[in-house]
Amino acid sequence: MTGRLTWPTALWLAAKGGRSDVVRIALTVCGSAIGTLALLVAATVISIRPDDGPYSIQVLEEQGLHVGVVIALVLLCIPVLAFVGQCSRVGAPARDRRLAAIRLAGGTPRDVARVACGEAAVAAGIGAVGGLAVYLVGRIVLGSPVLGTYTRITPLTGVQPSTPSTELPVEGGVGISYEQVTGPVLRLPTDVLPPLWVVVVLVLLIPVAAAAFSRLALRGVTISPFGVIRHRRIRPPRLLPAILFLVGVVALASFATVTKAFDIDLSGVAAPALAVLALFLLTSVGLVLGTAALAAGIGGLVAPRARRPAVLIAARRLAADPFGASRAFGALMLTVLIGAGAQGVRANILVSTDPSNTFYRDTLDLVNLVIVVAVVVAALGLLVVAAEGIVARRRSLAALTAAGTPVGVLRRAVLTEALLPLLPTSLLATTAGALAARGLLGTTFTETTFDSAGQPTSRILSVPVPWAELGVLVAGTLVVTLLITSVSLLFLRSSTDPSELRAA
Amino acid sequence: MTSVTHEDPEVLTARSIVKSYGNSPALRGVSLSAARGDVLAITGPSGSGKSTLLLCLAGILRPDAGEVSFAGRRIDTESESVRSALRRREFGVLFQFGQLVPEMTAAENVGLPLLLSGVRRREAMTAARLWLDRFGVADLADQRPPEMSGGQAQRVAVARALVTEPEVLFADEPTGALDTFAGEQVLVQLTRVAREAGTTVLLVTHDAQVAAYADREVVIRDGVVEGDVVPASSSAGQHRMHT
Repeated sequence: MTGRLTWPTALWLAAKGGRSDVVRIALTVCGSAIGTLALLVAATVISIRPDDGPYSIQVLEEQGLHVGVVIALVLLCIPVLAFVGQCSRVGAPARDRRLAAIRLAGGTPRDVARVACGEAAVAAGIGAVGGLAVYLVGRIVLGSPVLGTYTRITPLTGVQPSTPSTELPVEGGVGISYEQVTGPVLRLPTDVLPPLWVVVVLVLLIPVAAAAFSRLALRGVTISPFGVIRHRRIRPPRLLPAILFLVGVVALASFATVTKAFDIDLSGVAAPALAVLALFLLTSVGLVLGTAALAAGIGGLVAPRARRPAVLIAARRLAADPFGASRAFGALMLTVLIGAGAQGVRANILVSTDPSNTFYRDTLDLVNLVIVVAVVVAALGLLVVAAEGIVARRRSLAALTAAGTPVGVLRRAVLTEALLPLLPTSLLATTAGALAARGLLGTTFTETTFDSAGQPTSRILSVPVPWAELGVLVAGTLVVTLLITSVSLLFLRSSTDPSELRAA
Repeated sequence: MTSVTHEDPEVLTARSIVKSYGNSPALRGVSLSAARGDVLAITGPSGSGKSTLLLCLAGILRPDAGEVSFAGRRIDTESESVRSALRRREFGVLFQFGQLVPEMTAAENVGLPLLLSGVRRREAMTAARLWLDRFGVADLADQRPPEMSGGQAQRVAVARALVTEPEVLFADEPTGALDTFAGEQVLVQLTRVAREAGTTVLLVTHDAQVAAYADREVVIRDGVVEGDVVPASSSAGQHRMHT
C-alpha cells in the first residue's frame, strides 16, 4: 500500500457518476475534439508553403491571408474552450456530493483533486485523440485532387499572363495578378502536415488546460466530508473592468491617429502588433469582468423595482450570482467583440479593393461564417450554463410550482435572466469592436488611379460604419441566445416535477 | 375563485384515493375529510404514503383513482393550470426545506404569491412585511434565506404559505429539518395564525409531538388509513394556550 489514491482508482471513481456526469464527460470530449481539430487545421494552414496546393479555397492560395485564417481558427477555439470550461459545471451538485462522499470515506483533499482533475484530463484527452483521428482520417478521405477552377495569385513581374486576369495596382507600381486556372486542385491542404512536435503539443494542449482549469476551479471550493462549500465572491469589481475596458477601447480607437501624429512607421515592426494585441486583451478582460459588474448592477437596479414575478426572480438571480453571468456570457461577448471588429475590417477592405474582384468579398464572407459558427458555439455554452442552473435549482423550482407558481413565470424568468445583461453587454462589445477596427485601420482610404498617360489621380474615400452588419451581429446574437436558452426550458418541465419534492 | 362558506363544513374531501409509483403502490383507497378550521395531522411511518396523500390533496399529484374535492368541487380532474391557480389562491403549501427562492429577500419571497396573483409590488411588500412581523421575523425582511437559520427560514416559509390567507394549508414535515425548540416555535405560530384565520391545516409528520398540535390525527400505514383519532399525548386546546 502506498497510502495514496492511485490514478487508476481515481479514474474509476471519476467514472462512477450518474447520468449528468456522463453528459459532462461527453460534452467535454466533444468540445475538446472540436478545439483540437481547429488547432490542428490552424497549424496546417500556417505550414502551407508557396509551392503547396493548389487549393479550391481561394484564401488558402494567398500566403498573406494565411495569418488571418489562423487567427480566425484560433479565435474559433475561444468559444470552444469556453464551452469545455462551462461543461465542467454540468452535474456539479451531484459530483460535489460524490466528492464529499469520497472525503467521508477517508479520501484526502488531494485525492478529491486527483479524481476531479483526472476526469477532466482523461475526457479532454479522449476528445483530443478523437480530434486528431478526425484530422488524420480527413486527410485521407479528402486527400485526392479533384478537377476544379482556382485562382492563381502571382506578383506582377512585367510579364502579362496569357489568360484573362485582374490586376490590382498598388503603390510603387508592383501589382498582383489573379488568374483563373482550371486543373486538379485539393479541397483542403491535405498535402501539408505540421511538424510532429507541433501535432503532439496541440493534442496535449487542451487536456492539460482542462486539468489545470479543473484544479484551479477547486481552489475556491472546500470539499469536506459533510458537503461542499464554494467560496464565491458576491461583489464583482466595478472600477477595474471599467478602467481596463475604457483604456483598451480608447487606445485602439485612437491607435492610427496617434501613430500618425507621432509619425511612427508600422511596417515590419512587431511592437505595434504586440501593442494592439495587448490592448485587445485589456478590452477583452474589461469586457468579461465588466459583464459580472453589469449583471450585478442591472440585477440590483431592477429587482427592487420589479413588478412582475419573472423579472423579480431573474433580477435577484443576477444580483446574487453575477459571476455566473460573466461565465455564461464571457465567450459570447468576446465573439461579438471580434465579430464587430471583423465587420469594421470588412468595411475598410471593401472600400479599398476593386468591387469587381470577388476574392476579398468571398474571403470576408468566410470570416463571417466563422463568426456565425463561433456565436453558435458560444451560445451553446450558454445553454449548458442555463440547463445546469435549472437542474441545480430543481427542488426550489418544484416547490415554487407546487405552491402555484405557473411554469410560464419560471420560463420567463430564465429568459429574462439571459436577456437582461446580454443586451447592454453585446452593445458595448459591438461598439468596442467597431471603434477598434476604425481606430486601427482609419476612417478614410486614399484611392489612386492611373490614367492612360500613367499619371496618378488620388481621391479620398470615407469608410462607412457598417451599421447593417453590426445590427445583424447584435440582433443575431440576441436571437441565437434566445433560441438556445429556450432549449434549456425543456429541463424546466422535468425540474418542476413534484417528484423532486420527494427527494430530500 | 372558489369561496368557502359556513354551509360547506367539509372543505376538503378525499374518496378512495389510489396512487402508485410504477409498480409500487403508495395509496390504496384512502378516504378522509377535513372541516373548515381543522388542524389535522397525517401521521405514519416512512414510506406509508402520507406525503403522497398530501400531494394528491393539494392537487400537486393526480391520483390514479378516486376523487379529491375542495369546497364541493372536484379538483383531481382539473387541468394543471386550474390546479396551479387553486394552489396559488386557495391553498398554501409548506415543505420541510428548500422552498424559498435563495436569491430573493425574505419580504420578496413572502410577497411572491401576491405578485403572482397580480397584486402591485408596493402592496405585496407591505403585506409581506406584516406577515413577517406576525411570525416575529420582521427584522429579516431584507435578508436572503442563506443568511438565515433553519428556524428563521421556515418561519418565512410559513408566512409565505399564509400570505394569501388560503383556505387550506398543506404542510409536509414542516419542522423535520429543525431542532426541537425552533420546531416548536414554528408550530405554535403556524397553528395560532391558522386558527385565527380559520384556515384548515393538513400537517404531515412522523413525529407524535408534532401531531399533538393537531385537533385530529389520521394514521396511515402501507397506503391505507389505519385510524382517525384525537392526538393522545397532548390536546390541541393545551397548545392553543401557548398563544
